[in-house]
Amino acid sequence: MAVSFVNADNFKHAWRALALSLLALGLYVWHDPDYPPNGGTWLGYTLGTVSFLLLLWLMWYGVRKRRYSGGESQLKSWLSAHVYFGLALALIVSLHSGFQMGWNVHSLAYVLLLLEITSGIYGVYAYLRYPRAMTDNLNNQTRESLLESVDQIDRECVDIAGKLGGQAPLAISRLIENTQVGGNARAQLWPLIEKTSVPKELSALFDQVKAEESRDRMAEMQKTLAFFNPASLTQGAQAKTGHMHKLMDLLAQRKQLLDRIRRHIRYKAWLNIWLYVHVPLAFAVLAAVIVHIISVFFYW
Amino acid sequence: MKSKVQFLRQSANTVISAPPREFFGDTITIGRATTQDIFLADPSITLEHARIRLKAEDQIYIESVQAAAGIDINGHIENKARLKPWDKITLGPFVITVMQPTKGYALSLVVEQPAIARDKSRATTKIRIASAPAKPAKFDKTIVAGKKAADKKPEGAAPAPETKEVQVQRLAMDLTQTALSKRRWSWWGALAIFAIFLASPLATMLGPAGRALATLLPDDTLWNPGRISHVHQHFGQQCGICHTTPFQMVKNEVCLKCHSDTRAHTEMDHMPSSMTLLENGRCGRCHQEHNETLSLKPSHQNLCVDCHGDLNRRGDVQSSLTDVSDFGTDHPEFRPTVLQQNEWWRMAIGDPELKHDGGLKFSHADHLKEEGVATPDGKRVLQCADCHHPEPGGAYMLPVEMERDCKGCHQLNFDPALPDRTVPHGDLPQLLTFLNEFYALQALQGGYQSADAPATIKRRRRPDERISGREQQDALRWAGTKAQDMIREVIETRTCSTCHTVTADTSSKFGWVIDPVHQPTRWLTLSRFNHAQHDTKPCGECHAAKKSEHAEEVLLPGIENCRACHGGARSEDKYASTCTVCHQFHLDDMPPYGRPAKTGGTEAAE
Repeated sequence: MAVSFVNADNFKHAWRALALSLLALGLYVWHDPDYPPNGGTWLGYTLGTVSFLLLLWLMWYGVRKRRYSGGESQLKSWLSAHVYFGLALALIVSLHSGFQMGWNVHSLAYVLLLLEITSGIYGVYAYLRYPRAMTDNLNNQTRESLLESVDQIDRECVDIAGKLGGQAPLAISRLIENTQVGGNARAQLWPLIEKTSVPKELSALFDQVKAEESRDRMAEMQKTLAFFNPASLTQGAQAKTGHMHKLMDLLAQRKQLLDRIRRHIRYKAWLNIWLYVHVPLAFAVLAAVIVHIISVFFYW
Repeated sequence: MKSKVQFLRQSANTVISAPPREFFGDTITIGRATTQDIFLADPSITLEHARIRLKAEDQIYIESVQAAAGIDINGHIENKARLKPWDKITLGPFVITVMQPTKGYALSLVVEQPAIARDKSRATTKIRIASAPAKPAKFDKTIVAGKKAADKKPEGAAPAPETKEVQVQRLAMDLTQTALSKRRWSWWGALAIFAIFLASPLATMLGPAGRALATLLPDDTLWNPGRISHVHQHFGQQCGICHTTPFQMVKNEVCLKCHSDTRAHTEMDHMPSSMTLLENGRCGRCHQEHNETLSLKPSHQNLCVDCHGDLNRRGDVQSSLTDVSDFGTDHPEFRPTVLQQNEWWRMAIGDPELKHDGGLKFSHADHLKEEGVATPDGKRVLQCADCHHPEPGGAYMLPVEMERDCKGCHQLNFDPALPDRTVPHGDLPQLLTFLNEFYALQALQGGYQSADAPATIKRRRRPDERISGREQQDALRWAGTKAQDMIREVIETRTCSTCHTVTADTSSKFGWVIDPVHQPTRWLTLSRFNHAQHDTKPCGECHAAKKSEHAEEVLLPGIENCRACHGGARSEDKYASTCTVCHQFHLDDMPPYGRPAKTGGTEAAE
């Protein structure tokens, strides 16, 4: 099994975080204060202090991961600790609160922290799922190379459309122009995927080509009967049909490529979107916790 | 069949050529994997991209293996194509040109590799609509010798009347390119929280202007960590009433402003410093507000047991109190406070010495006889409540009072000739005066129908009849003797001594000493009991009065009686009772709480 942040250092951090959680839980169960458990008992202050230090340390990960001096394996270990101690923090903070809730800044800090940890849990899920899905999807290629392939197909389509004549060049150029890859966050997370590879205008044209082909065949038969040489006529119809089939193949291929590119963008967006919740929430939690501490001691 | 492949790599301005490689066999593989014959290291190329098959000298084909979008041959996408000299195969950044094969070779290829793997202009290459097929955008200045011929070869290149450049719209493909911003949101979120939850409450504390602001802005109610107890609810949201100084714990003065009658726990001349809490520790240490609790009375056993568990082993305290750690398992027998030989003692229930010299003669058993007792209204079965009445509130019982509780039967009449008349109770001189005056009046007004009275006194007189001075003297002399006899009889044999211990003592002021009555309303002075909370139990379940012959017997139940219902602090099958169920911390007979503690022994020495 490959070493990831889940099993880094042979689950060292998982065991440590579990030990810390069990210790806190054990103390909480053993402790029997006069009043309902709350943050104001010695255990409450202790758990609060531990939680605050843990929070600062967890946030330090944001600084640590920008420093490359420690090496990647160490960073993996840090992430592992970040995940497991983050989970432990949810328990320790809950015990610190004594499960007393209210419409106040203290419960705000608690709820924000739980949201923060929840977003982190999603992050773990995303990091375990999407990179693999992205690799499978790209299948040894890059987004740019896939886009280039689309360009290549587009050029070919334009070429064939020119030969096909009629509405085809316009339809193809519209199709190309109107194809969007990426976009704002919503478009990246929930991309619009075309249901069909062939635009409407073209399908009408294709029908027409098919009709022409069969008409030509009829004509050919008549002409054969009339001992005319049918070669030139049939050749034209056959060429058109050939172009049409080629164009259909290319468009199908094109759609497949675009789907892959969009899937790639979607995976990447889902891989990263939670950080736009996780990071700002972390600072909101820090602010709320600072206000929590100040207000608690202001009115001691 | 033999094939020759020449690799050319473009450097800044020169072309680096490697010696040509030869391949034998009829297949040449192309891809990014190092196992491929033509190994092209670029991410846009799949591991096994394509292969060239040599079927015969003039039948050479290229076919796609993993190429996603087919293979670009002379600008056309093909999945399989027959190769002719001067065909150009574009694979990502690479261009493979099919050369006129030299002698001895079936196929000759030139593979060009660009200097810079990625060329930005490529990504923005536009497609010319309705023009000749676009040239592969790479390497316009190709160095291959036959290049010009190759360029000219594809299609007739009919010039388009109108050209338009179109391309798939490449929008933002990464969240970092969108309007989302971690940094901005972090700042706004944190600043908003500081503004709403810190700056605003602080601003509302700044004088009258702040109070006006408080109607608009969030104030310090956002800091309230939990509802305050019921008794303090009337302070509402005015935090400053208790929290007078920022960053300081609530001070005792604030509590004592209202709770001025609070008493200390103990009064010790030289308090060990570890025990100053008992006299002036911080109120909030035990009485913790904002815990959503109804009561602020801490009930935790450890509050008491921390000291009382081993009070006498602590070394710094000398106490007569017994160690106690739990009502259910480790609590001494109750020790009621009783009077013996004019001194008050605490003696345990069950102690054979236990008795209370209350000064009364009384038998509960006689009064509670099942067949009833004789009363002026005939026989009656008495109940406890006929004589014992609870105090208002019902916690304790009022002392039994002669006038209210006994006199219904014990009427204190003294003279058989005048059975309606009774002596006053509770005041010996009053009694003496009363009887002297009573008989003097009877003697002087006459008509006193008693067998032992002289005729002049027995005789009824007319309202205006006057008796002589001699008769008056005789009558008063008789009255004096009669009164003295009656006094002795009432006190010593008939009335008083029924219930009281009376001693004739000529040296005393009035001739007799009647023992004072001591009826404690609280026998267990260090604890509290509430009769009203136990009124579902009949009295006899705790007080064995029906068998009690003597007044000095203490009819209090022992601890086992209480333990029938009350268990220790952790009891699960009984009412879990901690110390504060019966005991108080602030003791009524102690000095006021909060006075400076007298600590240490050094002061005593001085």
